[in-house]
Amino acid sequence: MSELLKRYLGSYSQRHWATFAIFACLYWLATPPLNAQDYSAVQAIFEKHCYQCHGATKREGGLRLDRGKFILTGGDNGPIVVRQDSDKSELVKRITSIEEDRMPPEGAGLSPEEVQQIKTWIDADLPNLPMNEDAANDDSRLSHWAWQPISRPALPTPKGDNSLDTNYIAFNSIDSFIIQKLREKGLPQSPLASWTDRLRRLSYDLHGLPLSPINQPALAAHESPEEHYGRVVEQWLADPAYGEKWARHWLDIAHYADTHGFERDQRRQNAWRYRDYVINSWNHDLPYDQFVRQQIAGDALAPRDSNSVIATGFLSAGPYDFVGQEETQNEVLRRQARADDLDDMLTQIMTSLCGVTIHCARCHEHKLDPISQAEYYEMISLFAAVRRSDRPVDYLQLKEYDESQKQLTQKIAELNSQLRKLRNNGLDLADVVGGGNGFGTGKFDAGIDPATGNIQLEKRGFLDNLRLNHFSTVNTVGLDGIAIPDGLVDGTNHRLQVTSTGIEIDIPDTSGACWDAIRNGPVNAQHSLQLAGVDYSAGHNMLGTHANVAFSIDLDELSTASQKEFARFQSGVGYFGQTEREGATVAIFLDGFEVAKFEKLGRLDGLYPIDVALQKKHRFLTFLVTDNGNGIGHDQVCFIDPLLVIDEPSPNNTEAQRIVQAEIGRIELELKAAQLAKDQLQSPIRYFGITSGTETPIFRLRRGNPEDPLESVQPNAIRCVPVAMNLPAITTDDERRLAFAQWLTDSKNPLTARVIVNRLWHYHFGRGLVDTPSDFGLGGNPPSHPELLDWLAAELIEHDWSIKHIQRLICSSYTYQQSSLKQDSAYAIDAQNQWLWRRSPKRLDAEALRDTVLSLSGCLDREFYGPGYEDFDYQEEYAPVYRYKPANEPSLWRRSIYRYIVRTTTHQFLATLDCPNAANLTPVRDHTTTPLQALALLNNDFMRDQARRFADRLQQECGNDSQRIVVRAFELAYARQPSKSEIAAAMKLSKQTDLETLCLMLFNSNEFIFVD
Amino acid sequence: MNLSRRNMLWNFAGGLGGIALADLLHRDAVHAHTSDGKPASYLTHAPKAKAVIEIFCPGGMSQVDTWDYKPELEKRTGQPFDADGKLTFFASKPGNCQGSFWKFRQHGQSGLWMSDLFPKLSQQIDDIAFLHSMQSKSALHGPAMFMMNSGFTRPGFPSMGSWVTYGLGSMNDNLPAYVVLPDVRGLPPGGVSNWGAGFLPAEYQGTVLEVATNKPPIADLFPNTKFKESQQNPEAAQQFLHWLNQEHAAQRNEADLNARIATYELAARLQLSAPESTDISKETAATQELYGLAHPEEGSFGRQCLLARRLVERGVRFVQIFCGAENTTAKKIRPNWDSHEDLPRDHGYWGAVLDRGASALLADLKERGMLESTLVICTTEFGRQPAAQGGKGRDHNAGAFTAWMAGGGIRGGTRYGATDELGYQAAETPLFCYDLHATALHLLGIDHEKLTFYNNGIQRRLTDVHGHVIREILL
Repeated sequence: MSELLKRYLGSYSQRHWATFAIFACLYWLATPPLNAQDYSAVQAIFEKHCYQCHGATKREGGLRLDRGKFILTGGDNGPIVVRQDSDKSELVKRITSIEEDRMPPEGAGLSPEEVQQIKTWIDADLPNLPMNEDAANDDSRLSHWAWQPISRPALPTPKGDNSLDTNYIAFNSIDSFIIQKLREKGLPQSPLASWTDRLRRLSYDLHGLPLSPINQPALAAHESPEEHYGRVVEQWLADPAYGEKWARHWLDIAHYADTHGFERDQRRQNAWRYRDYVINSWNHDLPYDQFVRQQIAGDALAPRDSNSVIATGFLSAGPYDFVGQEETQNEVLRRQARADDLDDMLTQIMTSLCGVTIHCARCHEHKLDPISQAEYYEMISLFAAVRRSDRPVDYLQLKEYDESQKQLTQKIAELNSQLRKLRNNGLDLADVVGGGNGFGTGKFDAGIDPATGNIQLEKRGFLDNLRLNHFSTVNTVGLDGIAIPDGLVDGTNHRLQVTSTGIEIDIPDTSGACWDAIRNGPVNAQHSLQLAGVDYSAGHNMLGTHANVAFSIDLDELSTASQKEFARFQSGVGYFGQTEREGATVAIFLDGFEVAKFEKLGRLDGLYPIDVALQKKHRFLTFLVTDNGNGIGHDQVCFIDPLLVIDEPSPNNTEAQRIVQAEIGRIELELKAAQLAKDQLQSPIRYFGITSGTETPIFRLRRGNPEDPLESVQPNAIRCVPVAMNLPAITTDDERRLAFAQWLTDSKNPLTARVIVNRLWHYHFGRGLVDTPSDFGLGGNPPSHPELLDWLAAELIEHDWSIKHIQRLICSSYTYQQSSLKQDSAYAIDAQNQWLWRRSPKRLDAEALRDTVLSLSGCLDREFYGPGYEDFDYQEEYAPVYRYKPANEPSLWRRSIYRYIVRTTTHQFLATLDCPNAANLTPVRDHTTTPLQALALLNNDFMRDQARRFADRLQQECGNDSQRIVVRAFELAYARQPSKSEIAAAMKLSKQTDLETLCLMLFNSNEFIFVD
Repeated sequence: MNLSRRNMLWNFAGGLGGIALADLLHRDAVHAHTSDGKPASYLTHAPKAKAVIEIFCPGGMSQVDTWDYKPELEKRTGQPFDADGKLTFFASKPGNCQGSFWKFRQHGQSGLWMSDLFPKLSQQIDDIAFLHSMQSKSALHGPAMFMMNSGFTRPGFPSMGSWVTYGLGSMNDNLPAYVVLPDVRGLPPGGVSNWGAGFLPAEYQGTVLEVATNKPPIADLFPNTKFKESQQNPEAAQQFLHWLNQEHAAQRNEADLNARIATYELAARLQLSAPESTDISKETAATQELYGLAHPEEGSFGRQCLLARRLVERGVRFVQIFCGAENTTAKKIRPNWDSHEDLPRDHGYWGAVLDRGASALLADLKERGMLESTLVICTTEFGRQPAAQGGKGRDHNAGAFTAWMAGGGIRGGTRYGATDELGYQAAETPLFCYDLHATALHLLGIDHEKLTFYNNGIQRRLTDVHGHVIREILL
C-alpha cells in the first residue's frame, strides 16, 4: 500500500475504508494505476488549466484553485465541490460542460483522463487536500505599501558630497525629503518666489480669495521676511475664510448637494447645516480623528450635541433615489434602489476616508486589492440600519416642544370654547349641512353630495364620472349650492359659479377629484379627529369636507328662517388628514370676494381661527377647499364650531351682563397670552442627516444581485489593514458605527492619516504625493515620496490630528514657496513636476474665480453660514424645475460655498468652468480648456454685470483719473503694478471702448486665472 | 470654413498657439492615435459609421403598441394577466391583458410588422433593424435613463456620446463634437446627467444646442442684448486681451497658457459656425415640409431632427435628440412617453411626433447619401406592461422593450431577439444596453472592451464587464 493510502486510511473510519476499497478496486480496473489520491496530480491539472484565471492574482468569480482552503469555500457563486459526489460538483459540471459555461472557456479543455482524475479525487473525499496553508501569508497583495503600519522615518541626511547641499535650501523637514529625491533625480530647486507671488498663492490656497492689501499683517520691527511670512500664515489660518475654502474640498469628496438627485430632484432644505458644520470644524481645527468619528457616528457619540449630530450629514450627503426607495410599489425595485444607496454611502466613506475602492468588490472579489466580496457585504452591514432623512437634530428638544405646543393648543381650545359658551349666540353651520336649523335639529353624519347637490346619508369613497365646475343647487334650508372646482380643464382657465345668483370666483388648478361628501361631522374614512393634541370628537360641532369642493351658505335664507341677524362668522379650520405639510388650501368668500385664505394647510399647522364680520347686505358665504393640484390624497379639512354669531342688541347694562362681559374680557386676555406663547415657541432645528432604522440582516449577493442572496454576513471592516474591529454577534446600529469610527481613527490604522495628509498635499500642490487620492490600493499609483507621506501622517497623529499643523508645515516649507517659473533643463527631466523642482502654476477653480470676480467688483457679501443662496427660480412639480437666473442682485453675491446646489440641474456657468457635478465623488478636479469657457467668461450675464460693477468701483475710488483707474485695476486683479506699456494699452482700450470692457478683459486674462 | 479667420489665428498665436489649437480641436490624429502615430489600441477595425444620431424617447415607450407585434396578447385582451395576484409593477397591480391600441401590419420587402402609430416610418422598415429583446436593470425613470445612456443605473458615469467623442475626437474644428438637442418642453428625467462626461474630462460632455428659434443656439454664445452696447469695438478688446496674454505667456512658456489663448479663437469660430449650423432658412421648402417644421405640435421635433442632419453634415460626431421631456407642467398630454393613465392619448401624441421627424430624418439622410455612414439609433429607457393600468394606461416594464438601429453598417429589414408571447419579458437572446452600446462602438471602429478610462480603482468601460456585438444585424 502506498504511503499516500496509508495516510488516507489513518484519518478515516473503517466504514470509509470499505467504501474506498471497493472504489479503489474499480478504479484500478478502469484506468492505468495513477495515484488517484494524490492531490499533487490534481494540483498539476489545476495549475495547467485553471490558475491563470483562478490563482493568487486573478481570482475570476472570486475563485482560487491554488489553495486547499479556497477550493473548499468556492467562489462568488458558492462551493464548487460536493465531497464524495463528483457528479453533483459544480467543478466537474463546468469542466465537462458542452455549453458556453465550460471551463476553461477557451482551448480544448481538460482531457478525459484529467477529468477522471479530478472526479476520482472528489469521490475519494478530497484526499490530501492541504488545509493548513496560511492563505494570508502567501498573498503578495497584503504586502502592498498602503496597508503597512505608518513608520515615522528619520529625516534624510545628505550622503557623500556635502558640498552639493549648498545648492538646496531647506526651511523645514518637508524640504529634507523633497531635496533627497531632487538630488537623486539630478533636479535643482527653483528660486524663492517673489513676496507677492507667495502671498497671492497663499491667499488662494488658504482662503480661495484674491490677495487683498487689507488683510496682510505689516512687517514688524526686527522681523525677518520668513518670520513675517510665518505670521501671515498664522493669521490667515485663523481667518474664517479658511474654513469656507477648505469645506469646499471636503464637500467634493462627500458629493454634497442640497437636493436628492435622480428623477425627482427634490429639495433638502436643511442640508446646509452639514455644510456649516464642515466650515466650522475646519475653522476650529477640530482634530481630524474627532472630525471623522463625528461624521460616522456623531449621533451615537453625543445625541444632544447638535454639532456632533449634524456631522452625520456626511453619511447622507450623496444622492437619494426617492422614487426607487419610497415611491414605487414594487419590492424588487425598492431592494435594488436600497442596495445602490448603501453602495453609494459605503463607496463615499471608504474612498474619502481610507482611499479604498471597496465598491469594486460588490459583484465579485476585488480584482486588484485583497478584499473579498464577503468583506464588501460585511462593511455594508455596518450601515444596514442607516437611512438618509430630514430629521430634528435633537429628539428630546422636539419632544419638549411638542409637549408645550400641545398644552398651549389645548388651553387655547378650552378658552375658545368658554368664550363661545359665554357668548352663546351662534347658529351652527354644521347642523345646517346636516339638514338642521342651526340649533341642533340636523342629522349627525348626514351630508351633501358635491357632484349632485343631493342629500347623502351613505358613506361614499372616490366619486366617479364627475362633472367638474358644475354648480348644483341644494334643497336644504340655508344651503345655496355646491360644485367640484378645477381651475384648468381642457386647456381653459375656469371661473366657477358658486351661487344660484351666478356669482363666480377664481379657482386654482386642482386634480379634479373628490371624495365622499360635505358632512355634519367627519367625512368617510376620516384619518383622525385630533389635531395638535386636541380631541375634537366630543364637545364640538364639526363641518367635515374633503378636497375638492366649493359650497355656499345663503345667509338671507338662514336669517329669515331663524329670525336672527348675523354679526360674524367664526370657526376654527384645520387639516385633519394624514399629510403633515402642504395638503390642502382653504378660502372663504363673501358674495364672491375672498375674505380669508389658508394656503397649503397640513396636519402640522394645527387649527386656525376664522373670524369674518358680516353685514346685512351680505348674502352668500362660500367655502372653497382645494388640493393644490397634487391629488386629493388625504385632504380632509374640518371646520370646527362653524358659527354664525347672532347680532343681538345688547341688553341694558344689567349686573349679570357686566359680569359676563368682564369674564369675556378676562378670557380674551388669557387667550391672547396663550396665543403669543404658542407663536413664540421655537421649533427645534432640523437637518438632513440619518436615522437608525432596523438592523436588517445583510447577505452576500451573487453578482451583486439583490434578488440572489447567498449567506448572511456579520458587520465587520476590511481585513487587509492591521487593525481588527471586533464586534459581538448582535449589535445595534449605534454600536456598529461607533466601532467603525474607532477602527477608522485607531492610530494603528495607516489609511486614515495617510489619506488626509495626502489630500492636504494635493490641494496645496495641485497633485498628491499619491496622485490617485481616493485610491491607495494596487490600482492606484504609489507615492512619489513614501517616507514624506509617512512622516506627515505620523506628524498629524502626534500633533493631536491637527490639520492646521500640517498645513502650517506645508506652507512654511521652501518647496511650497518656490517660484513657478519653468526651467527648461528640469522640465526636460520631469515635465509633470512630480519631484517638485518648482511650484506648478494652478488655475482658479470655478468657485474661486466667481468669488474673485465678486471681490474685485466690491460686491462680495461675506455673510457667514446659514441657508444657501438660490440663484434659480424654483417651480414645484412632480419633478421640481430649477431655472437659473442671472446673479445680478446682492442676495446672490455670497461666497460660492453657500450656493444651493441642485444635483441634476447643474449650474451651467460654473459647470463650464469645471465645477463638478454633485452626482460624482470628486477627489481631483478636472481642469479643461474649452472654447465654451471663453464664451462663458466673455458673455455670461454674471461676468458682464460684474465687469460693469468693477468699473463703477474703480471710478468711485479713482474719479476720472484714467491712469489711476488702470493702476488700481491691475493692483486688484493681479496684485501688482502695471508696466508703462500696459498702462498705455489699457488706457487706449478704455478710450476705444469703455472701462467695463477693460475690466471684462482683465477677468478673461490668463494672469487673472492662473496663480504662479 | 472661413480661411482668413483661421489664418488670423496662426499669425496671432504663433507656432505654439498652433500646437495648442491642434490639441484643443481633438482632431482624429490627436485622439485616435498614440504618440508614435499608430492607431489607438481600441481602434481594431475599419469603421462603417462616422457619426451617430440617437433619438431618445424618455418616459418608457410601449413595445407592444409600436414595434413588437403580439397577436396572442390581442387575443387575450380582457383576460386576467396575473391570475394569482402575485405581481406588483412600479406603481400598480397588473390589470387585464391589453392588446395593442393600434393595429399592426406588415410592411416593405422584409414584411416586418409595425403598428399604425407610425404610418410614415413603416415605409422605411427595410432600413431598420429591430432589437426586440432589450431589457433594463431598473423600472425607474432616473436609473433606467442613466443606464441606457451610460451603462450604469447610478448618475455620474460617462454617457455613450462622451465615450465616443473621447475615443474618436471631433471631425469639425468649429463645432462641439457631441451635441444634445433636448425637447423644447424641458430636460428629460435625470437632467443633464444623461449627457454628462462622468469621470471623463468635462470637455467630453454633451453641449446643449438650443432648439427654440428665439434663443441663441449655445448658452453665452453672445452677450445678452442689454450688454451689447459695450461691444462697440470687440476687435480692440480681443486684441488687448491677446496682447496681455501673450506678454504674460512669453515669460512663462507654458502649454496651458497657450491653449487657453487658443480657446478665444475657437470661441470666435463657434460664434460663426453655431448660428450657421442652426440657420435652416436656406433649406428648401420641400425639406422644411418633409420635417413638418410648420406643424404646431410636430414642428419642434422635426426641427431637432433637421438640426441633427445639419450637424452631422458639418462633422459633429454624436448628436442626441430627446423626443420628450421630464414629467412636468403640461396637463393635457404627458410631456413624455410615460403613459400611465391614457396611452392612446399620450402615445398617440408622441407617436405622431416621432413618426414625422424620424421618418424625415431617415429619408433625408438616405437621399443625401449620408445614411450609410451615419448610425441612427432610436431607443427608450424601458418598455411598458402588456397588462393595462387603470383603463387605458400601462405601467413601467424593465423586462422588455424594443430599440432600433438604422444606417451606418446596419442591415435593414431585420429583427433580433424576441419577447414572450405577450411581450412581457425578453425571451429569446435577452439584450441590455451593453449590447447595443458594444454594437454602436463596433460600427464606429471601436472595440468596446478596449476603450477604457481609469477611475477610482477600475479601468472603466461604457459596457462595464458586459456587452456583445450583435453581428446578426450588421451588413
